[in-house]
Amino acid sequence: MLAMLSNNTFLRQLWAILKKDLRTEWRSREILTTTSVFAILVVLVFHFAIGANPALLRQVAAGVLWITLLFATVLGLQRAIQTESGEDCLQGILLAAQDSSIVFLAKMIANSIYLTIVCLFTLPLFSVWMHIDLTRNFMILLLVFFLGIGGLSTIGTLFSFILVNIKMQESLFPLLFLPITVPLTIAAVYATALLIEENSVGNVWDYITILIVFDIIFFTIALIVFDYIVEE
Amino acid sequence: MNHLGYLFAAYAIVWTLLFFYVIRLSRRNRELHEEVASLRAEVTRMLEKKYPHQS
Amino acid sequence: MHDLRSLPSWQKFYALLTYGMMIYALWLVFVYVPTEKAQGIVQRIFYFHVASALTMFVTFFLVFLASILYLWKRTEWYDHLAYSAAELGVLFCTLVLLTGPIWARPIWGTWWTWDPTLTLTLVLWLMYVAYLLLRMDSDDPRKARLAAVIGIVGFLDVPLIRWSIEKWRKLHPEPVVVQAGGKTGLPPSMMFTFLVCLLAVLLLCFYLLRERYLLAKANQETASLRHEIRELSA
Repeated sequence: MLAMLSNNTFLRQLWAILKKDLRTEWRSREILTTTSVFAILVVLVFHFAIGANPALLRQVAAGVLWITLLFATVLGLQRAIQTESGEDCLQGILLAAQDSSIVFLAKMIANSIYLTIVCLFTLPLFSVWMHIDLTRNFMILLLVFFLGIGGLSTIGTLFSFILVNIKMQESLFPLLFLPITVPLTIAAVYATALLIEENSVGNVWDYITILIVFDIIFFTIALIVFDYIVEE
Repeated sequence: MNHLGYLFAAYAIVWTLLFFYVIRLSRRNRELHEEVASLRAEVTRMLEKKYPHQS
Repeated sequence: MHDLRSLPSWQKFYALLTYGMMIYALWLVFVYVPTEKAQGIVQRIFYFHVASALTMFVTFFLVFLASILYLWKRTEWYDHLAYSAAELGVLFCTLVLLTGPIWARPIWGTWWTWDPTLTLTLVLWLMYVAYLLLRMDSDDPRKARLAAVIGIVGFLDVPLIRWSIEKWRKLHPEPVVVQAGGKTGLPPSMMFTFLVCLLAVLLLCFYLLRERYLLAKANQETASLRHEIRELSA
């Protein structure tokens, strides 16, 4: 695959598919709007449920944040699956692509971008409502979010392809997605929690290790296994 | 419930679950056996009709 | 189940062996092994609880292997094995999740402790139930392949899940349900009882696995026969 990376066609095709997906999404902005609004709503509801006790809210803030992202991923990816289902457009792209992993990468990057945009909307609100200073340890926090979103995107995209033409896809997607991402959830939440408070940044690296291992393992597996999912 | 009760409950559950699973397996197995037999007979019948036996 | 008299001799032997082991295990657990000092008689749940947990891991590993082999060789055999192993796995998983709390309640007063193994078992239960739902639901011919992928991905996640749950637990330690007795060591009588239990449960598991596998094969045969009938009537 490294040889292919340097190959111009690979990157060109990747960029082409990515551009197409992003442009399609930009026209309706359906996924972006629904997931962003949903994310804000989740934070709001948590605020109503727990917010009467600000100290408690601060303690659960990291958890709330990542639950929001998880739900946003589930929602957003389900929409993404539905847009791909039917009409065999997927087959068309696969035939055109030099290597099936291009299709996977393009989708995964697109989904990561959506999640990042959702974060950009949610985090400021989060910071303001819950009185959390996100600029402390900003670079490490950025790393955690990068790894977390990357992992969610990898698993989510993989499963969305698996379930693309299955009847029960709406209910099966969260059922499959949430258990498998438990390590990521735990690691991301507690890394974020540690970074939001002032002390004990040292422990963070344990959680970040889990995130890195998770991302590497599942990214690799996704690429290996993708052929088997989409072959005819 | 005293401790003996809990012990009983645990083993009763184990037994019950296994029992029901075994029952389910054997019932399904029997049904499928019958179905396979009847389907096989049907196929033979249809083959006979299509390509009558040269005696 | 098949009429016991008509079975070939090795199957009969295996069935009898399983039954015999079970009876022996029961005797050991209830009569032979001494009562544990700290926990009392409830501790006797431990033998089948942990035996079930280990059996569960074995079956999930089988799902993993069978899934890989299926993607590689594409023989139906492996697919049926994967499905059967997953079903048995969920069965034993359920047993672990039910006996765990029953063990925990009289000793620690709560039904659920976030014991790392028990929590891991819970996550696995959810994962493999989703696997079974995927299998049961669609008639999609690609189903076997897709399920195989999930079987592989899911199992590879297990060490990661275990790792992250352990770290999570360090944040709020609670009683540990599954005392494997590794470092402190189980007295030999208990170890022996446990091993016999483990063997008995494994034997039972594989017996059921084979039955379930035959069911899957018969299922496929019905499908292909129906297909043939449709072709012939066309």
